[in-house]
Amino acid sequence: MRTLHGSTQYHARHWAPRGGAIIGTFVLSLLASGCETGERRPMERPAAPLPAPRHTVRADDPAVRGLSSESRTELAASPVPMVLLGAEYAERTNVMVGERWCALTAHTTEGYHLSIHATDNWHDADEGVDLNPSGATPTATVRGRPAWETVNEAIRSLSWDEFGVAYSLEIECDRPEDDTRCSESTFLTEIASHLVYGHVVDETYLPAGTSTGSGSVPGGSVDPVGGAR
Amino acid sequence: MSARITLCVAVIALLSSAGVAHAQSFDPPGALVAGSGRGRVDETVWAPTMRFPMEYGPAYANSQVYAPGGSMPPSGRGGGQCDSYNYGYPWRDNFCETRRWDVALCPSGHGHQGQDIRPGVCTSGVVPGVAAAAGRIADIGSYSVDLVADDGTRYEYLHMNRVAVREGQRVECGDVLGYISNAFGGTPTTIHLHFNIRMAVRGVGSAFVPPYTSLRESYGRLGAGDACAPPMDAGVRDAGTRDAGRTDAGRTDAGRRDSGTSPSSGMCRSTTLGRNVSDGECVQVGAAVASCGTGCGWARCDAGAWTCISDLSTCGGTTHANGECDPVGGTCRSDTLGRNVEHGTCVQVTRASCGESSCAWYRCVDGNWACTELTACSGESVANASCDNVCVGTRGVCGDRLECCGGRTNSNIECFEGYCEDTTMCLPNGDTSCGTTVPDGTGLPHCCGPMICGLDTGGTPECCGVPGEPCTSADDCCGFEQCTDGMCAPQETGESCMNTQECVGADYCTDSGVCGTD
Repeated sequence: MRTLHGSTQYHARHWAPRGGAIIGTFVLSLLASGCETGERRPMERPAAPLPAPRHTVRADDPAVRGLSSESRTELAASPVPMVLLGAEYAERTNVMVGERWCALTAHTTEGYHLSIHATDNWHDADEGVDLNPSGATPTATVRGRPAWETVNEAIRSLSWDEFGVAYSLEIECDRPEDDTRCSESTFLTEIASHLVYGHVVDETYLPAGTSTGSGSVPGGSVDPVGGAR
Repeated sequence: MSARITLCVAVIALLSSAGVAHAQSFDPPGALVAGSGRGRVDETVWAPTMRFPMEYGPAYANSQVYAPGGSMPPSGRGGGQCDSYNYGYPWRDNFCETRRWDVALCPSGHGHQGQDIRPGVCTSGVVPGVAAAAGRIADIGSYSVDLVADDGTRYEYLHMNRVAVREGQRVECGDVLGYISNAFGGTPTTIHLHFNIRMAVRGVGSAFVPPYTSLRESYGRLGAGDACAPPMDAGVRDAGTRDAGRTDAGRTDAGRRDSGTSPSSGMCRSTTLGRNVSDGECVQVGAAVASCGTGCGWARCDAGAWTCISDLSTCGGTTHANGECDPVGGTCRSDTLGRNVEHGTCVQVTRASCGESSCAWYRCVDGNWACTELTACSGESVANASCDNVCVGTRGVCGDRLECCGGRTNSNIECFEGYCEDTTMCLPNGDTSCGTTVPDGTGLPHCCGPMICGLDTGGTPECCGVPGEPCTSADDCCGFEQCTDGMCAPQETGESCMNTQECVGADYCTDSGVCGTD
């Protein structure tokens, strides 16, 4: 370890440059030294034991009914409560799940596509690590919850928490620089306002007093389809 | 809960061919290019088990904007994106680099959400982007690929072309996802990978976390030939000396089922290994753990729960011996690795032995160590990071066949025009099938070595050479490139082109078919 340009640098292996006799043939010095970096790793919080899943899908809702059978099967296997896009996107929606997450995408022919990601695998930072050094606060709202809105390389996203799950909704445009659906908030906010709860894991999973229903869902009852897995 | 990681070896190398020292060096996290904003000083390794997202090195993490060829180059510094300034060490963090985008973790509340990384060559479509972890492809956009790992961590790859996966596809760590390029929705950017890590962070929500330290660690494991191994395995290789403190210390209460996995998942949580294992795999607990006998007992994962066993033949071929315990069966104890290894495994040591002053190879043969040549190793070969023998992957940059990982055991692997290749499985110059077949995720088919699948002057896809590649005639080169002095030469600004890779410097092939920037 040494200091260059006033900053601490860590030296490790070398890579060969392109072309020519590549690998160095003469190692001048090997300094096998244990040097602590002070690196930390976030703690992956063990999930609290959950009651046995009692999968329920709002099978009556057009946003669910319009999904492909593959997506419905995946949705039913979701380990987390999942929101869906409005019914107009259902036929173009692909749902997929993992051990601790559920995601969907919806590709359109209008030069953009949407995606949603949900996970309940929360990570805790080290004690003393400031996760919000600027004191910023969410500026948007999704489903009545405070939401962060940001843009990443022209991909606009909204993220919020609900039922102990972290959600994000994104839009990516084929021509991002001149497409206001990505460069401005309005379009994505409108999409978010039509999200539908398509799947819950278990009512007891949810905090008391919350509802799985969406204001945009026209009255449908919750159908148990526990055998869908 | 801080897990302090011991970082490794300082190596100073003199490279004989070019006389250029290529020692890796890394500016600390948060140290952005001067004038490019305020970085986040945070040593947290948010994704400690991730693989480096390019198949092979070298790679250079630095700014795309505050660099030659970017929109805010350093004062007084010209040059295009291929300038040597951009293709050298030290690495530089550019998480939180000045942007208008809101990012809670940034000191200013906004900035760049990821890390920009340049591949080892300033050529689009050559270096594969690979899966940082096992998981599924959750989203593919016009210039993005999102991989969600089993644990819900999202790895986002921007600006790749020749995407080799489909949405929903299951991938394993290291699988090829696409190729690093300058794709950006019709308006090219520089040739780089913009890499994000996004996860649920308590107190923030779904957050972009700083990827720099995770990349730095994974890059070290890549260089050590251990790209997809969990960090506790990678770490023991650093110094080539006994790593007494790393033989699962502090992780000796194996045997608890992971409450985070679903009952039907077929996975068990091993606190000895610090990760989940699949049904049928066996783990040896530590010497002080009495969960399966009086210590050093074995447990097998059965349908998501642990079962104590005494017969290792029931382990489905996957056993994880504990370095605290004596070797069993045909395994050998490696002080270098700090763990036991299976019969057939070769390990490189730094001490004088086997008639060598250092860096000799040993092979585990029926529980005993035997001096060996690397070419005789049929199983796992564990190179020592202190030795000058980089294992550069299956398609890495090379000068000799033995530098190719597979070249040690597979005679088909060659160092083809400076790249490790199995030349029986890649496409030769002039092959037009590269434009009609989609890579299958295993990296095949692809054009051999540094060639790209470009267009000839008639618009037909073919494997061809980019500027700087060897040629015997212009037919060997892409598009309108000429073969000058045995090398494909770039097209200058205003000259005809078929592929951006033909164009000089930061130019790209415009819609009008000439090299330029407008």
